[in-house]
Amino acid sequence: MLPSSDEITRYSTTVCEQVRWKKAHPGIAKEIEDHLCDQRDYYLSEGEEEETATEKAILQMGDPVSVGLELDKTYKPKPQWILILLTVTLMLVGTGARYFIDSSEASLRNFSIVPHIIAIAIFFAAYFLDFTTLAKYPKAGYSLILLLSMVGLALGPEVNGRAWFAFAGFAVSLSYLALIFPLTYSLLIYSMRNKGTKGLLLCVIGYVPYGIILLLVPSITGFVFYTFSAFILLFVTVRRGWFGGSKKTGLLMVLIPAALGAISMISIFLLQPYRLQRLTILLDPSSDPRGYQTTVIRDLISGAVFIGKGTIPQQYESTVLLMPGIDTDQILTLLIHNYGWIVFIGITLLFIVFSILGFKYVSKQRSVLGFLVSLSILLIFVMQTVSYIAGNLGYGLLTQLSLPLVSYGRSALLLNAGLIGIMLSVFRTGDVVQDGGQPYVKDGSFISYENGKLIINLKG
Amino acid sequence: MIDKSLITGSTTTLILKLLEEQDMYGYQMIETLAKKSDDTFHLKAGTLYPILHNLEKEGMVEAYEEKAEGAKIRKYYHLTSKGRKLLKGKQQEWMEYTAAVNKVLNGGVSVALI
Repeated sequence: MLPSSDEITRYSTTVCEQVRWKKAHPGIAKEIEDHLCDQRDYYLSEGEEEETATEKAILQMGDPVSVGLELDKTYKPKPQWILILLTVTLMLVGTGARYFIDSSEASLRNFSIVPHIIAIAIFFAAYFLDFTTLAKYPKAGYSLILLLSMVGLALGPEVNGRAWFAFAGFAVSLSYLALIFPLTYSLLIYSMRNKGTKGLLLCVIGYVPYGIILLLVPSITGFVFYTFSAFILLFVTVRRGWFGGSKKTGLLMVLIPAALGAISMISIFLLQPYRLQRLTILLDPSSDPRGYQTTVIRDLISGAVFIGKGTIPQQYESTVLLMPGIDTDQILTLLIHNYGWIVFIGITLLFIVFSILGFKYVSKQRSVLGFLVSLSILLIFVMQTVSYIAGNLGYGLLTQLSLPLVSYGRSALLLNAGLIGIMLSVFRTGDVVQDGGQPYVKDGSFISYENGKLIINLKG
Repeated sequence: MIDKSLITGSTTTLILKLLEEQDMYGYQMIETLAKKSDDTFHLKAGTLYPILHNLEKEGMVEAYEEKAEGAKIRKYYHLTSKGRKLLKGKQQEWMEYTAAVNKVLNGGVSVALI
């Protein structure tokens, strides 16, 4: 390193000191130092002494304080007021809904505000968290979650045919792993920058273990959500040229997880034909005794009014509302029945606005890291919402996981609160995030001429 | 030497125009601008970067890192379609402005610019 580098570092430090947003510092410092070095090298090539060359380069750049102050105007985190407001509103709707369920006469539970307060705390903690920490150990993050889910699967009890994980009085369904997998999978993709076909192949292979875990839980919904997210995430990264190499081969390889997912689903339906009946039940619920719940949902909804309490169809007694699970899994159905369609429209609108704004901000992400992290979270958010709403209207093809922030269930509430917090943290600070890893190397010529220097590229 | 205030107003336009032809990194832009203007425009790097970063924030340019011919990794800037539109508008504005100035300077007679 040339001794003049100290002068240059001192200059860039002074510039950065004027920029209040610390996260922007590394990017600014690097660009300014690079520039000064280029300028100094130019003066050196003109025959100047090193000290003079550095001085002249710094002089050419201008006063560091005023440069820093100018940059400070550009670098400001973007507080996500609208999305925060929407998140908090959805959480309040969830709290209200839970209060409504827990305080009903038939309920054996006691309403507690504590989980909701914890959820909001987790949300804000994640919002202010530096999400780039996630990218520091992407492969370790991917493996840790895989290991934890394997342990959970091996040791956890089975409840209603599904694996759960119980720890210190807190139990969580392993189906919810589907909410986390896309995020950690996106980090694996992120770590493969410019690793070419090999990197992409590792991502394709990396898709498999999480998929198997979800099939073992078993959570078909989780598997479908995860497979779909993995496919989309891989597709968009290949299109962005993240892996380097041929995009065409890349796009063909992306089809592998999609094909594997489809093959798994077909095998499951062949091995467990009763799962296919879900489709026939949807088409004609009365044809099968297992379609009873679907029939009830549709009948309750057909008796609903726009504003106010709907009527319970004659064939049912009023105890139909006490059907097991209806108060926890069909919260929208119950709200439609009790308060009218207007409540449903209101809640759905909140979700629609949230999702549209989400996609808008995801598409604006400059860094691949910010883009992948926020997209993986948003996809899971939207898929949970759509499948839950479809199920609550009596048209759910997949078993619903949860209605983010609103539906009953502490684990889902806390997980979604954390994930949404991370996504909003990306929207807030994503502008200054710089992707790590080796940038793409253009096929440069063997000999090139730059800034008065003849460069012979021996590496090819 | 041209009065500085004349240059300041048009710097953004000049930067956008440079990027219209090819993606460049900061140092390259200053060099190219000096070359193209027969050494009339010696843009200070301290002026260039705040403008570039602001253009990036507004979505007019996109930045990406790339190891080009040399060994160094450079931060290249690329003009987006939004940036192209802005350039078009700015060029139009500049033409109208200079035409008006010329008209006055020529005692109210409009002259062809080019």
